[in-house]
Amino acid sequence: MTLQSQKKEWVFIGGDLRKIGFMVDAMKDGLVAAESIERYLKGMDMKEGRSRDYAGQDIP
Amino acid sequence: MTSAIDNLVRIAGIEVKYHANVGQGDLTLDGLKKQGFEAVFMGKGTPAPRVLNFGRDDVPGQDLSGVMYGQNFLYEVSHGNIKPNYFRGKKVLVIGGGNVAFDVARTSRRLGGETTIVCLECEDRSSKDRVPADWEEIRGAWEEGIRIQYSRGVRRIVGERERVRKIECPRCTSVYDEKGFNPKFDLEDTISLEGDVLIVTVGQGPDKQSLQSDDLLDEKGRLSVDP
Repeated sequence: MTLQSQKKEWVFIGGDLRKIGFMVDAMKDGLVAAESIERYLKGMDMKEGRSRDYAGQDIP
Repeated sequence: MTSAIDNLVRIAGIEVKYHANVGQGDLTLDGLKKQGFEAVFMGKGTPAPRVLNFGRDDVPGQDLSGVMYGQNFLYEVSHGNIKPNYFRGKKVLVIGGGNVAFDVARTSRRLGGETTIVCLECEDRSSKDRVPADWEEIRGAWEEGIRIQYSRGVRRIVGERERVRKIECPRCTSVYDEKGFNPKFDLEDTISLEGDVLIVTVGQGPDKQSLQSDDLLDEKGRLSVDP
């Protein structure tokens, strides 16, 4: 959900390095990590209001 | 590509440091923190070629002269470091059935090699164990005169005076099962293929060494990150 390293809290990891997959998913990791880094630098809650991928989406 | 990157960098006000290999030498994550960087995003992909395995073990003989990895080979070719006809009169064996393996095979063929591809997967495109490369690549390889040995693994690399000489290839009876990639072999049906050059192109993975030295792996050697 946050892409935050569990060994170093100031490091965020994404793309194929984390999980080999499609390019669009790697690009999405960048977006997710940017949100995480903003929250981290502002000292905000890392998880509030965010959902894990595939956590289940409502049928429209 | 260069101008696209230049424009992004200019508009967003990014500073780019080129040729910076984080995790190697003096350039470490902790060093960056000391320099005053408060957060790091790491997305350095999968640059390390995967080595050839048989069962749980690395295939012996990969340190012999004449054995190379496809990604490194393509890097050298695209940077103009390999002269024309580099492989003339040589038997080239390429291991792997993906698009990169076919790229390597066709490149080695154009450098004059007598090239054979060896892959675990089968030719039948309706099978669950079908070769993963695109049809265009397979047809291209065929048109360029490359031999393809389907449904064969590599159990041993045999050398002679520290040089690769031949490989022993048991027939692969099944590549995938309910566990995923889990190849099975019929050792009774083993052929040996001669080669002067062996190019291993069986995928790639993250550079574990630099991740290890930056202390990002857990005790099982996996990247420790909140998914």
